[in-house]
Parts: sequence; C-alpha cells; structure tokens
Amino acid sequence: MVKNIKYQYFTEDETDKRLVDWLKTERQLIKPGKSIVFNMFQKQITNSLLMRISDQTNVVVIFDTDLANPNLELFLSNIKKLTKFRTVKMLY
Amino acid sequence: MILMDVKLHNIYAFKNFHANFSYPKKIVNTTIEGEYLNDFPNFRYKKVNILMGANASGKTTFGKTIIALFNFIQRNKPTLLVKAANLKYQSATVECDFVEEDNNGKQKLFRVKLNIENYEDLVILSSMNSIEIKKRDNYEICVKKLDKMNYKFTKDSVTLFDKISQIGWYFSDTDSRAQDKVNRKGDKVFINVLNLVMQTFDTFITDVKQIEDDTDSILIKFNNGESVIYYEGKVVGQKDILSKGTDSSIAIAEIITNVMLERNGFYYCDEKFCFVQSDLEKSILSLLIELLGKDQQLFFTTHNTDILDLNLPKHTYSFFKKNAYNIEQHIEMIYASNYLKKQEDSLRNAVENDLFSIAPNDTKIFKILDMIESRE
Repeated sequence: MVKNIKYQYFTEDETDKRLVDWLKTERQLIKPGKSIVFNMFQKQITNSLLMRISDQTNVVVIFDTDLANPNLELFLSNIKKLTKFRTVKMLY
Repeated sequence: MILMDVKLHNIYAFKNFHANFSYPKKIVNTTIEGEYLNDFPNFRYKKVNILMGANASGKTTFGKTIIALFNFIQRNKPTLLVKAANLKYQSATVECDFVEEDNNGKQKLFRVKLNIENYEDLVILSSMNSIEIKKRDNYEICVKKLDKMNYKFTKDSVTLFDKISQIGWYFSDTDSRAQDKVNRKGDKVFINVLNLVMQTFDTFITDVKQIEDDTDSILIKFNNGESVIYYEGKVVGQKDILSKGTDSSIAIAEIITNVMLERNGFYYCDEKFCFVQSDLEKSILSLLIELLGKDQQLFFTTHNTDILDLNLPKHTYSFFKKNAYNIEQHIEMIYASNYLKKQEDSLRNAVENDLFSIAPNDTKIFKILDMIESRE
C-alpha cells in the first residue's frame, strides 16, 4: 500500500538516478519517491531546489565516495541546510 | 469500434511498443457503467482510458497513429500511416486488435497486421483475421484463437477491409477547433450544450444561440448587452473578447455533444483542457464518462494530476513512459493497476512519489542556474 508519506531522493548522477528508479519501480525494493540529480559535494543547495520539497517529505541523500576532490565542507553545509528546512521531515 | 490491443514498431518514436485495453477481473461498485461489450458481459474492455505522461512521451502520437490506422482501414487513405512510419532503417509494423461489427452485424474481434516497407517502393502489406465473439467469451479466449490463425499479407487492403462495417471515430487535440459544419448545422443539441458550457466557463455570458439565417454562425451575448459572432472557429471582429479557456469551450461542447449523441463510438481527446481550470476539467471528464454509451470508448490525455483524484477504477489510468536509454523500447505503457492492487492504494500518492518513474528529468532546467554562476 502507498501511504501518504513523501520521499525525495537526491542522487549524484544519472546512473545513480537510474538505479534508484529501477529499485523503486521495477523491483519495488525501496520507498517510492521522486529522484533528483544533485551532487551535494559540488553544488550548493538553491532555493529553487528547496521549494520543490513538499511538506512532510523524507529526504534521502545518496552519495558514493569515489569523487576526486570532494568538498566535504560544502556537503556538510548542504546537509545542515536540508535538516533545518521546514518541509523536510527526516533526512537519511 | 473498441480498441483492445495495439503493437507498434518503428512508428513515430514507438519501438516494440505494446498497449492493451482489456482488464482481467470484474469490478464491483464501479463508477463506470457497462465496462464490457454489450450482451457479452465477460468481454471486458477499458471503456475510459486516462493517459498521462511527461511531455513528448507519445500521448499525441499514439492517438495520431490510431487515427492513421482507422483512416487506412476505413477510407483506404495511407498518407497518415506512411507519415507516422519511421522507415529510415527498417520496415514499420502495426498490429491492432479491435471489436467491430462485420457486414452481417455480428460482433467480431478483428486483428489487423500491417507491414509498411520501403525497400524499393513504398508498400503497405495488410493482413486481417477475425473471430465471432460468443456469449461467454472474454478477450483472452478470443486472442488465443486469433493467435493460432495464419496471417496472409496482401497489397489489396480495400478488398481485405471490406468485411468491416463502418468505423466511427472522433479525434480532438489542443489545436483543433469545432469547425465541423456537417456535424453542427442546425444542431440544436450542440447549441444547448454550448450555451450551458460557455455560461459555466464565463459567467458574463448570458446566452448563446445559433443565428437563424446563418446556421454556421453562433451569437454569444454578454451581460453588458454586447454580443459577438463566432464563425468557423473564430470570433468575428473582437478577437480577444473570449478567454483562451472560453474559446476552447466551443470544441469541448462539440465533444460532449458527440459523446451524448453517440456519434462516433471512439473518442480520443488529446490535452483538450490545457486552458481549462482544473475543477472544470474534472467536471467535464466525469460528465463525458457518465454520457459514454454502450460499446463506446474514450481516450483522454492530460497533464492535470487532479484527475487522479476522480473515483475511477485504477485500470482507467495508464502512463506513457519515455526511456531514452532503452534503445529497444523508447516508450512503454505503464498500467497503474499493475502496481496498485489494493482498493485503498492511492494513485495520487503513487504519482506524487513517482512510483512509476514517469516524472520528467528536470536536471537540465536547473543547469540554467549554473549559467548565472559562471557569468558571476
């Protein structure tokens, strides 16, 4: 059963997005939710991205550790911003 | 004409595409009356098909392909079909199961197969078989019989399709306007419907009537005493007096009239409501469903997710999914009923959570922000 709980996935690249979509739709192994390509290590979260997170949404950030020069500071600042944002229910 | 199954290959962007419009189990307490072939209660077909999907996912071209097929079968006009065929590398194929009466008035399930080839000359090879539908038959039983038959292809499509009785269809897309003079001339029902629809769309409109001496023109009266004449899909003189929504209401009134009078049997309504307020779209769709008679079929494409809230069986909703990475099958049809099995499963939540992975990928839209950053 699909309950009224929203999920949103942030993936690093298109490949990860395709994996999330496959796990969600074809295999139904993860909770359904919209997937967006956004690399938290490279870009700062913008308002246009935050305003797309609807109320009471569980946000799942998917990342791997193969980046050449990961900007850890930026990543942590993005995570902090997400955690504090009013429409984000939980961050995974 | 009731469309049961369609297979397309190398037609527009469709490759190995398959869409089916039967449903397996009888639905109790449904809001769609008589969702089966009249006098054949086991022969279930999707009477109402709400088709959704991202932009350029195939909703319009699917409708155009069906109309091209009907034009070829009924009128022996191959132009639309040839235009739809993507003959750059290979031949294109169309396979379609549909229910129609034969020349003796018997309900039959027909299977038409077309090969459109462009090796030396452009050729359309056609093949057709049919079986009479028996009292207890369902679609699946009939299909098994059709599968076992031999299909001989011929260039003589006129003789081949002569066995099918008259096919009626109505296709209306965003740009089409109500201009069918033959349909409308002296049509009091249409004018009465139009009057009610226009007054709903624009509360300043007080009356809509046909001009007595000129049956092709409509007089639209406003509450300030002004009036305009609508002729051949356009307002004469004051171009902008009607809002885009009100303007589209004229074509909408035509659809309602045609469904009400069972003029066509097969209706493909393609994003006709893009200028219409969401609640009104819901109201008119529910009205169309209520008006839809026996052995009729409605296809309704929309981007409006509020339509998901209508209390309709889940098999009513299908989604076009475009996958640029899958070279073998660019477009596939996703059926909500395959994923949401329980009565209490919410289709709206499933779509909002993108269960079917049909949400458009908007990553590139937000690359516009990178352009600003790089300028700074």
